[in-house]
Amino acid sequence: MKKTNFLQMAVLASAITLTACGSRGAAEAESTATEVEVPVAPVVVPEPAEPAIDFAAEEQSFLQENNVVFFDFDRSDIREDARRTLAAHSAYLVAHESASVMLEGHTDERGTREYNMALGERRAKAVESYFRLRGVRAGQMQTTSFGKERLVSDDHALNRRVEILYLSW
Amino acid sequence: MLSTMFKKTGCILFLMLVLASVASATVTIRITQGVDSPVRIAVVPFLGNTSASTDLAGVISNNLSLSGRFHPLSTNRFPGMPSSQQSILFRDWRLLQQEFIVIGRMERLNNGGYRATMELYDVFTGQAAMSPVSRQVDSADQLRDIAHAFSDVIYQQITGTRGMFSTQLAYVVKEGASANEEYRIEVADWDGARARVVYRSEQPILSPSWSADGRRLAFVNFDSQGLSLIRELNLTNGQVRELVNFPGINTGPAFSPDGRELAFVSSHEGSANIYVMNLSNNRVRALTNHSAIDTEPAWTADGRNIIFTSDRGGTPQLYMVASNGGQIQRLTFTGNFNARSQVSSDGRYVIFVHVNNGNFNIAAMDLQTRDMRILTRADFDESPSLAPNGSMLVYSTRQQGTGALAWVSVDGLVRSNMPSIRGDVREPAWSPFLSP
Repeated sequence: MKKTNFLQMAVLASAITLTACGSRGAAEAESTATEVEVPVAPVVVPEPAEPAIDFAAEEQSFLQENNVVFFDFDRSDIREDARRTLAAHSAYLVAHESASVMLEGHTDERGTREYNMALGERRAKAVESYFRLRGVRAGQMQTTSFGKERLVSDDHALNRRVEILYLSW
Repeated sequence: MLSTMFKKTGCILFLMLVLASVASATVTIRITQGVDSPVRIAVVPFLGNTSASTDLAGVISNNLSLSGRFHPLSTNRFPGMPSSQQSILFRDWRLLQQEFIVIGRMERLNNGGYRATMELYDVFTGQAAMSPVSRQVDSADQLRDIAHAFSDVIYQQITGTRGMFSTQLAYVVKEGASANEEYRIEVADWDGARARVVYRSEQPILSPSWSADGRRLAFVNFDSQGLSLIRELNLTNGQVRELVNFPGINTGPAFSPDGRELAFVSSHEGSANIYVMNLSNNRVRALTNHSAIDTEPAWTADGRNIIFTSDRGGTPQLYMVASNGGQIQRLTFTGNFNARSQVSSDGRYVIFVHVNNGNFNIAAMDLQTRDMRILTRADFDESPSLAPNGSMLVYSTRQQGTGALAWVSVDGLVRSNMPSIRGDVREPAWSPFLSP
């Protein structure tokens, strides 16, 4: 179902682009015709240099900017506030079979390094199973954990995270 | 002399008992900085030691002092600088309440090497406590080896326990931030001196672990894709090889006491579980199979059991399983966090990280009585590693916002910071005895 949505969007997007180009092209052709009075065959107008809307790029940069989900202390269950982000990524992964991600789990600084390696891994695996349930293929995902080796903040809550990193689009 | 020793030991034991009962009653503990009656000893500068880079007597004094079992006299109070039995005026040292005096001589050899001789005297009787001991080395940078060997002899002679001064520490240093990080493994003398880099990586390094013969280190490293794997460094020739690289995480390497097997953690079958690999045929067997986190395997000295951390009961606690598999037994019940354990070589107690009032501290638990005592009191104490003689342990702590190393005696009475290692230091691992 998600797949259909994306196809529809893609078709719609190209339709909008074509219509826009078509009307502009026709206006230009008309004015030329009045001056020189030479009958002109319908022209194939080149794509504009600045594509106003590139849905794929837009979506990819949106996903890259929203690629972190957070967890509660010593927990690895998916929080309510993570669902929108995860839904966007799973939809993209389902629609793009060639896309693949590294799910990288992290913890805050409390706890031993080795235990936190396992805890970060469990968080990455929680995101992986969430994606699996939404139809993402196993081969599109890898999990890893840095435990508490890559802290990004003094705020514990911002360190307890999974980063979704695209290996291919 | 022996009777005074027994008196002292008895006193320390009594203190330990008192402290242990306090600990089990309230899980808070008052720690005094130092033993009440350490052995009073004077280590006189060695005759002929003035020109060499290493002050043998200074290193020996520092060793004995850090062990917590000795209280060396400071040199400015010395009534003389004797270098032979005839020149020791025992009465003067007795007045300073010294129990032992160490004297020695050092000479330069024709081949550029050095030879040193040490003598130990009982100040009360005025008699030699043992025969003179001599050691010889080829170069000046090996003089610390002599100082450590002499310290071992003194420690053994007076306490009856083998000294740990000739052992080494491996640890991880992190330098730089985000894009420019460097991690390295260094190996140093037990006191942090003579540090040398043995491995470098741009990726994090965790859990260096010594092989039983002290010749290899297994550790966790990450590859350029951000995946963890277990590597092994041969300290003799510097060669590095991959030991474990399954999908998922690969962590917690621990060589078996006989050196034939490696326990480790892998998540390749789902969650983090404990595995054991036979190092001669690379065959792997699963020791745990649970959906919870099982990690940080630690062998008992007889190689029969493995203690590990698991949150199968809801919080991270220590469990024990036979190293050939079998029933799993829970060991810790006090507190919400007990992890990263190591068992003493006599099998009597286990040390681990324990959360106490929100602070991560090092604790020791008697495996028979299950009495637990907390040994440290900073906020982020981690990675405890026992000296091979079981007398003290090294751990990582935080000082001025950066990682540092410290020692604490297993009774918790003596604690000192290691000043000589610079940088963000973590994950210390105390070597086994390196000579037979």
